[in-house]
Amino acid sequence: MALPPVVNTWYEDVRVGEEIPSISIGPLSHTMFLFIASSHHDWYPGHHDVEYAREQGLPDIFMNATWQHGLLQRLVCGWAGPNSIPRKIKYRMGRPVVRYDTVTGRGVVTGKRIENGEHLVDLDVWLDKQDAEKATTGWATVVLPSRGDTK
Amino acid sequence: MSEVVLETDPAGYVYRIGTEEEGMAWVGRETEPVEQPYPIDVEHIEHFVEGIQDPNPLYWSEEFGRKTRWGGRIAPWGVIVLTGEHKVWRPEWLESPRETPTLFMTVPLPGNRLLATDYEVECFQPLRPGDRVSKSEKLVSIVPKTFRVGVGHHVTVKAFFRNQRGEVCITDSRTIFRYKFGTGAGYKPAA
Repeated sequence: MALPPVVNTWYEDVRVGEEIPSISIGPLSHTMFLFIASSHHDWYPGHHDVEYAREQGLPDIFMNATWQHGLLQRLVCGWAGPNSIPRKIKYRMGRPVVRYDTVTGRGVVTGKRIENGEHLVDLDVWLDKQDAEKATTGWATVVLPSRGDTK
Repeated sequence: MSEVVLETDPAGYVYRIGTEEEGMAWVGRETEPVEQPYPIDVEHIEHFVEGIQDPNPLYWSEEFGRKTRWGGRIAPWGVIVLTGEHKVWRPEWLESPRETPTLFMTVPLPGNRLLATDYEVECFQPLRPGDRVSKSEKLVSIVPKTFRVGVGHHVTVKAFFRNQRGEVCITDSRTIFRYKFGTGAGYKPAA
């Protein structure tokens, strides 16, 4: 597969209020849940054992927090480009992501600032499901390259 | 000194059981850095990003990474979870139950189950293939809570992940709900 070009998102080009490109994944099969348990070394039964999850009072097996973070990082870094740093991602999980859900990540730029020489952009980020908006809500701060950087 | 009471959940996690008062006395406690058993490697990175279907070439190509500020392939934050063991079975389990080495479970509380609720991750520099990660923790807070799954406490622990040079690469403030199994009202589907 041919390598894509390095495409930067420059701090100067970002507008407060702009929406970043959404991402989507799903429907999430049982196989996918098992793959995530294995790939995260996370064998908490609520993530792969339907009976156990329901005994805990949950509707079905649910994706873990690290997977949700990974999805939010994919959302932010896919937009911010390979020379960005996802400085902070903070999120709260409301409704669980369960089997057969389709999850869409979205984000909007809420602020820009320069601190300690770093060009920072703040975003609201969240995960929608097919039947629930903002099942997970979060905030991100990303360091972007500046056209004024010497490097 | 009172006897330590341990309970193991179906996932194999071992909890130290105690009172809320005993738990509160632990707030502020910090652990020493412990080197994680596995280094960051390419297989971990690809396995992780496959699970989130992330095509970002920084995680897939050394050659692409060389054209960026990083000078090579890097790992997404989540790969730190792969530096620990699976903990489905370990030879040492043939002996007595061993406490799960995280303050979420070693702090004495009534709860014997957990669910994650909130995360705050800060990245200062990326991890790369070959890095050895050391982890330490600080118990930030314990707050009584009741949710439909049970009665328990929000426990917040901040973890520090350093590379082999001692540089802090990532901090991870995580809040889990640690609750006592069987004390909840159960899941009620939306009408």
